[in-house]
Amino acid sequence: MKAAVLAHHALGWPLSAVQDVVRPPTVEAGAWRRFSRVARLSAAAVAPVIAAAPAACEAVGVVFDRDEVPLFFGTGLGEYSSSYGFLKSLVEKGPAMASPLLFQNSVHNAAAGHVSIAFGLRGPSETICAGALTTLRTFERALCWLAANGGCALVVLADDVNADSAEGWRLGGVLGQVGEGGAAFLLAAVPARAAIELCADAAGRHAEPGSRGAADFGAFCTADAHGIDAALERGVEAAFDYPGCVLRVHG
Amino acid sequence: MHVPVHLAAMGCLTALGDLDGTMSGLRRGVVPFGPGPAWAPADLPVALVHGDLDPLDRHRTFALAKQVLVLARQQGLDLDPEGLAVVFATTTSAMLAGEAAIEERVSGRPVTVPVDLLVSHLAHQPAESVGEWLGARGPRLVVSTACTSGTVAFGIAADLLRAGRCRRALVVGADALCRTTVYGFRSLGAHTRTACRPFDVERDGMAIGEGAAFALLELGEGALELVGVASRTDAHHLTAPEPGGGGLVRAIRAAVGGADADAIDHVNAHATGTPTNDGVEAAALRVAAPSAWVSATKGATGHTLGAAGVVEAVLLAESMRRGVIPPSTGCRAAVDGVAVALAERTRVQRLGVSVNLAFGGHNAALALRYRGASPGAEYTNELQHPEIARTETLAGPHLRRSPQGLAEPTSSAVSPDRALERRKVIADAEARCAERRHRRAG
Repeated sequence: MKAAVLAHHALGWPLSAVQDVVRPPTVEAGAWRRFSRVARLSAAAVAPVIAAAPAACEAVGVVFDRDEVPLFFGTGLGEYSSSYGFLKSLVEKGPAMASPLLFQNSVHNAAAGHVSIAFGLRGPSETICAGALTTLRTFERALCWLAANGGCALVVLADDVNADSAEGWRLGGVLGQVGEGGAAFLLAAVPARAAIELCADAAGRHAEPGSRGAADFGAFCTADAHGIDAALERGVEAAFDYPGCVLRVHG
Repeated sequence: MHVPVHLAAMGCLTALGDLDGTMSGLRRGVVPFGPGPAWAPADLPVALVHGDLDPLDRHRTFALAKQVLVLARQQGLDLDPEGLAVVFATTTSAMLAGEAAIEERVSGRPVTVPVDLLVSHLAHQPAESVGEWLGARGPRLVVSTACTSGTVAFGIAADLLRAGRCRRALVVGADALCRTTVYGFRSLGAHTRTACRPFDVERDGMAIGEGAAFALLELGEGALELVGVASRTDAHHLTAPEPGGGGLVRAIRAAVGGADADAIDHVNAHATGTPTNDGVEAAALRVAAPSAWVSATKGATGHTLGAAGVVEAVLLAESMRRGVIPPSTGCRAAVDGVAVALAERTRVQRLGVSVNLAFGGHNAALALRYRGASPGAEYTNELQHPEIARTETLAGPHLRRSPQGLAEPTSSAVSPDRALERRKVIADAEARCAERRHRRAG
């Protein structure tokens, strides 16, 4: 199974060099303040892709319809940071001060919801979590959907790690080199120069229970730029440089 | 080419019991709400699963899922792990386990929660745990679109099957009660202080329940065909549905394919019991399923969150298989224009729909077609109105704690004017439904 990559964008950095996520001009400042960090990474990644989508789709004879285009959002850690913040406020301030904003952002699909509101996307929306295999499973889902329905699909991948939650992981010695980032792809079921393909043995790959070290957390951070973007732009065939991710990028 | 997918096996575990127990509890109007765990606020009724959960399973979400599968295996379910996909629907995942660790860390106490428990808090763990336990060798993933997770999981599983990514797909939904959801919904003012009354004109909020359910999907034709699954997004607000329910209408229409709206016999509604949700949902159902009988089961099971889509799809499928429409526990007088089943009805249902709405502005619908033998006489009891008598007996606004900790509905007097008004609402709804059925028959 493969699909053409019509547009893509990624941003990311290691935890040691965290930056502010720049608000895309198309997202209102008021809305941006309510976004979780995962939502901000997602929106920053998807904004250029959506801007490029109509022309990119038209070029290959596919319609980009915001009422119909599906959004497949993959996240390994999900809204851990928002959950952490909500529970922190519960413990520190008491139940009466529990924050509705943090709660609404604590569901793992909050980022997909914020993105759909900000960019007027009214089609199907699915949030997928598969640990170290999140990238694989999200693309697999998108490719299955395209095989059944045709047209185009958006894939957005994002994960954040904040200092508080990272400290929790460090206590267990399970956190090594981590980063955070977001990536967005516009895929279509048409022949093209740049394509993403599922390898034959991808279905049987599982996130090993014992392998929760730095490599897996690196895989959560699907967007740290030196993976996807570079592979596509160099025009080389390269397996994703993360364990268990059995996707191939064709240039 | 359309490749059919069907439900080969299914089961559920709710506060009312297993699938038989849940159907029986719905029929008898059992209200299993009671106080939650020690950490939960005493004034909020919740529906906990009381069962033989494995004490060695420290993650209650996994324990719930495992138990519903254990029960099914005891009844002969064969889950061949070769090529078996696990698509797990959950909102909170293993949050309950992680909360204890976070609480220790935030409060500055020494962290005593085992590291593996902390790590297992990650969103994908339930799918991995079920997959490992079964030895499933197909894809494993968690779908977490809040309260539509379960419905969406059916669509993902069906597409994995059709694309040849697995031989069989196990859709599992489970969510355990945890602080985040209990205090979160409380912070939104969404909880009822009395009783969950889905679609009732006097509804005042939701009540959380625990639950787990599964469905085994296979390619090919079967008695219960999965006609379609669709989701649509409002792009309106993160927690409030779009007024008018346009997104839900589009999801239902997409799920039933080309079927006429009047062909939908039964809708298992999301019906949380909050004024906003049920109002928007009713508006959508008037358009997208105008002739359907509507069942709302959260008044008995509680809102099982990420599991709700699977629990309710299974209840819909079982209702279609048995030829009954379960009563909507807690609803005494339904909102206008929706044919809410207030007492059990015997009716052949060929096309049924289960719908869910969720944070993120998500709307999802699943359509099932029953191709089995007709289990009951069509339209039996439709000219009777047992719900009018039921209006009197379920009129109590508060729950009474039983000695076992369960809650039962209390009875209280209804003013003659109010009773007459309710009867008129019910009679009007019945008349409109009869007229639509007459038009369809003609």
